Amino acid sequence: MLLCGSLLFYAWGSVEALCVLVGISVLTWVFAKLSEKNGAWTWAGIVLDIAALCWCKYLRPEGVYAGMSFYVFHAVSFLCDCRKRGRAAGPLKFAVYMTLFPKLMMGPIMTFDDFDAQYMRLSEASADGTGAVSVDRTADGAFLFALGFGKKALIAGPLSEAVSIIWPAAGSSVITAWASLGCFGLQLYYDFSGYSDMARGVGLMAGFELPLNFDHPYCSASVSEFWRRWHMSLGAWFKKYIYFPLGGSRKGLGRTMINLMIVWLATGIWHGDTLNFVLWGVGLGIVICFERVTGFAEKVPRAFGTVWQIFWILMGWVLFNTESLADAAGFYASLFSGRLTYVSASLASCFHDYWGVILMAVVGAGPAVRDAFGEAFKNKETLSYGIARALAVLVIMVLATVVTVNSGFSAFIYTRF
Amino acid sequence: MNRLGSIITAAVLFGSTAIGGVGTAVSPVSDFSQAENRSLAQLPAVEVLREDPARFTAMLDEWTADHFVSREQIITAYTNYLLAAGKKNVRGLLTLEEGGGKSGDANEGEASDAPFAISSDYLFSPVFTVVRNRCGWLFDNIDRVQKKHDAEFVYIMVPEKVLSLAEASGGQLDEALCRENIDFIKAGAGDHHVKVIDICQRILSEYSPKERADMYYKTDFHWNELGAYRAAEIISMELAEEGCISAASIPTAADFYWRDLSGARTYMGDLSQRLTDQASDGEFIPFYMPADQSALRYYDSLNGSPVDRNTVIASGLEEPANVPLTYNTLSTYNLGYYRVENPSALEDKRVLILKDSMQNATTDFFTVMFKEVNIVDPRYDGPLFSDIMEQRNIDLVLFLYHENNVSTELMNYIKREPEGTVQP
Repeated sequence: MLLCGSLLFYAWGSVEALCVLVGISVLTWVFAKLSEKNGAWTWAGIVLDIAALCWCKYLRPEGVYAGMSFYVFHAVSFLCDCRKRGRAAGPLKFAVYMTLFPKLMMGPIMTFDDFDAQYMRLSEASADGTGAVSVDRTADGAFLFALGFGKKALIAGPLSEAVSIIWPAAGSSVITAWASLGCFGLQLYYDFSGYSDMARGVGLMAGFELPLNFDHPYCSASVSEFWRRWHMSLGAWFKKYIYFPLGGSRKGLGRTMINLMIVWLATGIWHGDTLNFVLWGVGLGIVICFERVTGFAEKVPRAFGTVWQIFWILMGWVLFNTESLADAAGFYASLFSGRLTYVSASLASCFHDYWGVILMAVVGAGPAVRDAFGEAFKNKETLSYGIARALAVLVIMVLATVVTVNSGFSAFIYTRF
Repeated sequence: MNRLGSIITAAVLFGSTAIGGVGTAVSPVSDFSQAENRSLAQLPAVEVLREDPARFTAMLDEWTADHFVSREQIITAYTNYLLAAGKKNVRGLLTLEEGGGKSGDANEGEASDAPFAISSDYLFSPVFTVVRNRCGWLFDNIDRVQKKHDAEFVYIMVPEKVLSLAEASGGQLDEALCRENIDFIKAGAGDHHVKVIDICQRILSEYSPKERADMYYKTDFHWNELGAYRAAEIISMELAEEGCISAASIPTAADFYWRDLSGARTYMGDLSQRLTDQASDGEFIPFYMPADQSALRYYDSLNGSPVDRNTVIASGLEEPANVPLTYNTLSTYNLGYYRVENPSALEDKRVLILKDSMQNATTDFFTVMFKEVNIVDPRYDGPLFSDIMEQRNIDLVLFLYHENNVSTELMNYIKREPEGTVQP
């Protein structure tokens, strides 16, 4: 049932995309099966999957199929994990793994080992009659879904409007440029973490616990820590399937640096084929290597580390949100030169309308709200906790629906990757 | 985990989703959104599913979004909330708390606190980039046609709302990009030997911010008839200075009959519906027309018979008083072509005006001045440029556009050949 639902869900966007998904899945499984006798087939499968992704991402005029960047990573995970086990999983299990709809479009990326453990547990639960889905998990999922929907509609949506107003006016003053960059950084966080929460919520309701993707990354005290708390499932994938096989940090400092740069170059290229993304990946790699060599995180006060981290992450977002190096250079110039505190009409109207959302976004980017909620409801066994959570779901769903109806639904930013 | 609490939480989510879904499915279908002043998406035909399944699902998504249960009421309520909360950016418009008010003698004693609405399209850089990209192409084409015809060609820039109201807005509007655009268009015209008249600067220098605020509707993209009249006066003076017309041909106030419709009629601006009509009250509605209309003849085709004046100008005045006036019904619709002949005009010249909608409210002024005024809106179907030039023996060609509009339709229109082919 889950498989049929997932296929229907994906076919709704494009039947052609579904054919590609099915084609890649079939070939991947065949290669995994062949690799039971000869490990070279694993490599052949990986090359085929990555080649298909690269072709669609960089050569196909219409660009990559929806979700392809993510399901190809799932395919590679399957090939690698099956090779380690020495046998391929059954086709039905693999098909569910590849197409599981909550994670199909934009992750979180789930390794096959993680999926398999949960699949086994669910199968056993179904077999012994305890049921794969519980009321508690469904409620947890509902809360996560509503939380994600709220992040997307009530924070990322208005921030997107604010960014569309002030980003084009960035050249008018340094303060406008920094404000627009800050708003974009927050928009990106709430957009993607909102999606991830929705996906995890739906996953829970379907019986699967998808991995956590964001853990208040802007509170990190270094760039390295930021990337351990931002798009965590992608980082974990690169670590498991690229960084560790390359030797990780076990072969000396020099080799560690090279391995880190390879991972970050790959991360940049995965996001896009423009020089912006290559430079973004390489740049972050250099900063992370610097932190590694100097032991940065242990040597500086946490507050300084956080400022350092936010500075470099925002520098990276410039490359993320501009279409060419020339555009990015123009934006960097706006950040550091020109009129310093001139408040353009765009900036004034933006802060007038969106200061509440910006404040909410800044506060929500830290763990304070979550901690306060946890503190208020230490005992989750009480009815008051259940009612408070239900009320939160109700309020968020109503408000988010009203805002979405008014502003129209805007696509999640990460769908373009 | 408390089981009852969990059941309630799950029920709230599934219940709210079900209400939205079922409500949308059973809601009556409408074609038009009054709250947004736009047509709503239609259900895709079954043929679309056969031909292009992806397009079918995309259309179905769009239909669902457009017909969400109680969407119209939600949008109206939310817009009212945004206005009441004093938000500046509302439904793609920038609303100005200040920006001038009505003329003292227009609605005496009725202070209006309705905000000015500015289309956000004209506040940010993308539209300016488009204008600049098209500029060279436009003037190259104008240069080509002016070499082919024995007539004078003049490109006229009139001020769009942002430029005129920037000072009065107390810093809420930034007109710098508009000014850069003016310079850009002037330079482009100069490069291609096209005569250009910029009345923006004279409007800014000769009228105070308050006076300029009186020249634009609050809830409309356009200026009102007072603004158009004053602009037409300056255009005439500039044309006289350029030697295109005689200074003695410029009409005076005595040539026109003025009315203030503010008390008798209401005005529905083209931006008003996006604010759910919350800002429509208190519009200043000046109106002028030629004092002596006895000699004027109106045509809505190149070779047809005369038509009634209200067929092309001020049709709204014929409607019942409770029907709100709009920019189009008070001046003219954006017709593909119409012509006004005036044998007793002050200037013995036949003029062709190619224009955007800012021109609409200036027509009555020019009909007093010129023996024949041919007006073409290249966005709509009309006779070929070369046919009008030859059949009406045009002496003067005016391009009348606001400074942020370099029109693709204009470029394509003047390039079009009699056979219907397009020059490379």
